Amino acid sequence: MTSQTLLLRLQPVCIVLTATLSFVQLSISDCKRKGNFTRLMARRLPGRYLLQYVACFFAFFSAGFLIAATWTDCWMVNADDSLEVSTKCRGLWWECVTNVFDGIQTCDEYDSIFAEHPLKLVLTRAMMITADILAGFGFAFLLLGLDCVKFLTDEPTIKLRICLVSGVTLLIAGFPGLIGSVWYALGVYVERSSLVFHNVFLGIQYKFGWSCWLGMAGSLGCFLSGAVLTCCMYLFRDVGSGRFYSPNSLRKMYSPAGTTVANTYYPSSQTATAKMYAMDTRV
Amino acid sequence: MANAGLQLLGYFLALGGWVGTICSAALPQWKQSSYAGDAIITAVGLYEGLWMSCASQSTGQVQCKLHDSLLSLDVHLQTSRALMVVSILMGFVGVIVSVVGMKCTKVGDENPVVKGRIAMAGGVLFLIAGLCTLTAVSWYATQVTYEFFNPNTPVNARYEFGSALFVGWAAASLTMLGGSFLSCSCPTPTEERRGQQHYRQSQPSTAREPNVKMSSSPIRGEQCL
Repeated sequence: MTSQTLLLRLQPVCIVLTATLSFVQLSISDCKRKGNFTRLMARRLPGRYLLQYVACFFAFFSAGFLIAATWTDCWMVNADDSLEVSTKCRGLWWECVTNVFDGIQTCDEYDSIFAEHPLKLVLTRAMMITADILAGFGFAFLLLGLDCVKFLTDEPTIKLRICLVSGVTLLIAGFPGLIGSVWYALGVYVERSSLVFHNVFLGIQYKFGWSCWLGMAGSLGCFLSGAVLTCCMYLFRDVGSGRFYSPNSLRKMYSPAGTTVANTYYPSSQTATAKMYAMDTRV
Repeated sequence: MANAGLQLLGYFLALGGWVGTICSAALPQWKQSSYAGDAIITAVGLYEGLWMSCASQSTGQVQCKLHDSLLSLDVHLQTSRALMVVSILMGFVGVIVSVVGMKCTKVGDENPVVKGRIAMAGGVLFLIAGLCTLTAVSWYATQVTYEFFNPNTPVNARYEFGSALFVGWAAASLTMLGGSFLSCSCPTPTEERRGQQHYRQSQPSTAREPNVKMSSSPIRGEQCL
């Protein structure tokens, strides 16, 4: 019950945002062609579609970040207070030393996968690869669910389901990515702070590098786009039935929760969506 | 007009080719040291790419260094770099443009003729990108061959084709194949006339009754298979 009220409180904010954004889009399209095209666009561009594109944008970048984080080598870099004159980066697969003066980069791959590796390294690899695959799959599946792509046009609700499934996939993909990168970062931090605590100086000290940050940013982006796809799509599932731009309905949206319940959760939302799809595919 | 399946096939071929182009431009193995002739086993294998030259030790370490100055490089290296970058940019624009033009998207759906032309433009961009990659890779390969058979080159400093060259050839052919598939969607004159007619007819009816079921419209069925 509390989550429902929370969603209802959030709804006006989402609506104001999307209304302004789609108004901008409307005015752009208005410049292109006056008349019935504009009216059609007004019915075609409710917030739901905009949310799809926002989610798609985030999903693309977070999948890219996760893949980049997995295959780059700066998960650990040497801290400035160590004695080296070169930048030393350790990654999940190899470590590289770049000399600051002549720019020569020397890379060394870790031994074969069956050799002795710290458990942290192997598990982080596994987590990151899982996150890569899930995020890539979620993004590719989301492309099929986008409104501007014609896919299975005979079935009215398939797009909504595809978006939901890819949102859940992206949410799931966020977990291993976040766990992997945060765990690695924590390990580095604990190692360093325990060395400092015991007052031991081994000549080199590590901090976490930009690949680790990329991994964290990618998994947070996955969470964000997954949340947009699952929660906001659910909120907007019947807003897009064409009454969105009439002032009456806007006033209804801003009214307190009691009256909005009837509007948001009325049982015939299926037919509204179906109508909307029939209209959209027609245009 | 070409059907949507052919367009999709062409798009994905070209997309794969574009990714291959990026890979081949980034890889450092454009030429690698050759062991042809008397097989001297050395502890160091050298290879060189567009951006860096590397030495791989027998202990498994790889040392790389970026090329020093842009101006002191060979002409063929500079040209290959420029062509590869142009090709990647062209491919990027092509990826975006042909999404707009393909039949499986709804953007600009009310005017199929223009849509077909946009798809063709995307295909032409891919074709140019593929040609750029092909030129760059083949030029570099010619230079490597020339140096290999040059009698003045010492025997143990000879280079042969690296893996990036082969990736580049494959990418160029994929991009060009996909681009030519996409270019097939150029509308013919008769279709243009018919398209304009049905555009004129269908426009008012769409405005009047937007809630008509999709399956009842014959135009719709014809447009998207």
